[in-house]
Amino acid sequence: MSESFDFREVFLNLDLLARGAKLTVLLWSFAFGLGVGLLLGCARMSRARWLSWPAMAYVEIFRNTPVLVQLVWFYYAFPVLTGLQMAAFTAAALASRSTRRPIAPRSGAAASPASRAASGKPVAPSAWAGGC
Amino acid sequence: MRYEWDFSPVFRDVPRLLEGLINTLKLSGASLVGGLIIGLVLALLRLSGRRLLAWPAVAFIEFFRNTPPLVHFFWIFYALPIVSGLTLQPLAAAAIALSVQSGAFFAEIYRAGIVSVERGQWEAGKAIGMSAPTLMRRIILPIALRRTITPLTKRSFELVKTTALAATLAYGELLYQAMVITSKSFRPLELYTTIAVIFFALLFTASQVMRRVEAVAARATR
Repeated sequence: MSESFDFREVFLNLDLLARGAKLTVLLWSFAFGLGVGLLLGCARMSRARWLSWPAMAYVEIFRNTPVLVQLVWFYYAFPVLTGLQMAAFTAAALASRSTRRPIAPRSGAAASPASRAASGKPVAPSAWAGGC
Repeated sequence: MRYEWDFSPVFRDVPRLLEGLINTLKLSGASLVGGLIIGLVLALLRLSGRRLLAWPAVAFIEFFRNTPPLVHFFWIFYALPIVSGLTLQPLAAAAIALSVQSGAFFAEIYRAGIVSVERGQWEAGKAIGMSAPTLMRRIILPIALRRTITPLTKRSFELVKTTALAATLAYGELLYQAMVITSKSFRPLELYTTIAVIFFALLFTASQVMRRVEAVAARATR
């Protein structure tokens, strides 16, 4: 019993689907755009423990829990804690920007040869300017 | 605003959460085995050198790598029965979707490992008269697999986290059980925090164990 495909419903609702696609792109740009990952990566590389340990905890917590659990947590549990009811989009943006990105700059920075950071040092006064 | 934490609904329903944990592990295990096998087959097809085999494999891999897993879940659970007349249980649908989806990712990891094996190994194997399948099985794959332990592990953790999506098919894994308990107790904060902690403990422990395994494997190859 195979039913024939009927895509009419898809075409009739193109505007709704387009709105969905717009939100997807918007969320995506939030996840990348806030630069949280870069900051975390730098904090994680820092030699100061009060900076690197919280960054590490943050990274490990969000890397080791499912995104759907984070979404549900931010939308249903977070408001209970703070009394702050947020829009679905805000919750999604919060959850999506917290995932996975943090490690990227760290592994990138760790992967670049030590000589590059060292060569930055004579020119730049701080490790920060040398590329974190 | 002061919030009174109350974990009693969590403790009252421990068996339910345990059942959820077992279901999560069941789905993870089944999809992991399925995904590793599908991935290996796809990688070998892609590297077969025959266009007739390689191109469909490439199309398959790219399709599943570039579409969200939730869409696969819905398609297999809601759309497949209409096309094929085959109705699947939530566990089966989720396991198939996850196996196929992670298989596509595993395939690329295997491929990277196989391609990374030096040409000299191939030539040496051929020189002593090994057939291509034997060469692949005895020489290339063991080297490639040892090199890909780290990315395979990482991807497996992604898989375990993706199992939470099965809650949308009303499969009784951890997140779904938490939703059920929340709907009777109205304690979302405690429940969702608890399962986040469970997932964290599970994956963090596993990642520490795998770090050891990787270190041992790295020492063995030296």
